[in-house]
Amino acid sequence: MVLLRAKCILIGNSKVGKTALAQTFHSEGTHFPKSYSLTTGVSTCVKTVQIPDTPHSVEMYILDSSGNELYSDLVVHYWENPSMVALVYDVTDPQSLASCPMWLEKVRSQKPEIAFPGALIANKSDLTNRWVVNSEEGRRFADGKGLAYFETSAKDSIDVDAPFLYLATEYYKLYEDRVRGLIN
Amino acid sequence: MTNVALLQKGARIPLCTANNEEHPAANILDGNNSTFWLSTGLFPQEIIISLSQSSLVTSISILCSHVKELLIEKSVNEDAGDLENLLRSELEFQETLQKQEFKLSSPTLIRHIKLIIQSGYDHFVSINSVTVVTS
Repeated sequence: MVLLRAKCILIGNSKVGKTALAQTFHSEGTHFPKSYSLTTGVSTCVKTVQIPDTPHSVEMYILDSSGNELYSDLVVHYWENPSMVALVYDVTDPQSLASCPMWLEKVRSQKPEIAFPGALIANKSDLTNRWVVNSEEGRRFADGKGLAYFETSAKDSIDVDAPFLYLATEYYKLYEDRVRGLIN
Repeated sequence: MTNVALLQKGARIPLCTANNEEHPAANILDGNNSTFWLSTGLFPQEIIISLSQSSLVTSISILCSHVKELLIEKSVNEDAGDLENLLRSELEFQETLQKQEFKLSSPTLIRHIKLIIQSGYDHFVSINSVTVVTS
């Protein structure tokens, strides 16, 4: 049994629900923060994810990073040697998707020589009558950047695990490829 | 010219920051270049190699993969305290294994060495072997 460790950068504009996603995922759906509180700097939570059909798991250090510009110089210091990125936008706010290329570039520039798994998370999917950004737009952006696309609702605890499980599984595949390369 | 960083010569690894059950750190000292220790993610990674006794070392070699910034510290204390910088190097990227020999300017008394891998060219780095040569 192998326990891998990964630094997962969780980022996106302010108020898209990054902290709500992190806390809902961490608490397995039992805790959704009902009132908004701006994350200052970076808050970390640790969650171990079992890779399906294997005895192996990935311990994810999720760096829930403030999307507020005030902290943008500060947060990048925590992003050294990232293992994976979870990019979040709010389906009711087109500007939050428009900012995603900038966030992605900021994370990738930390380690340009290494490819790492990435997920694009369209959050607040429960607000059905307020959707402004349709799935097609999100999916197109994700495809163009080599990200996997997910729709979640942290509030209703819908599909919150899926992006994190995807990232952990892709990370594990990178590890397996390395082992194979070293043995051959 | 003998390599003392071998399990059969009494060398041990008392500390390694990534415990990989399938590719354990002891593989570094087994004298076999095809077995390896593989890190399990995140940087930095640290490994202490303890020799069976203090020895006058003339060179240290490493066979590894995807290692970028490497620091080596040494200690002459029994308990691996008072570590001092020995060398620092940035290894070049290689598709295959990286091989690097560090010749010490003069024979140096060493009981323990600590390898610190500060960054890599991949999420995971391997060390296949470390050779510590005494005069």
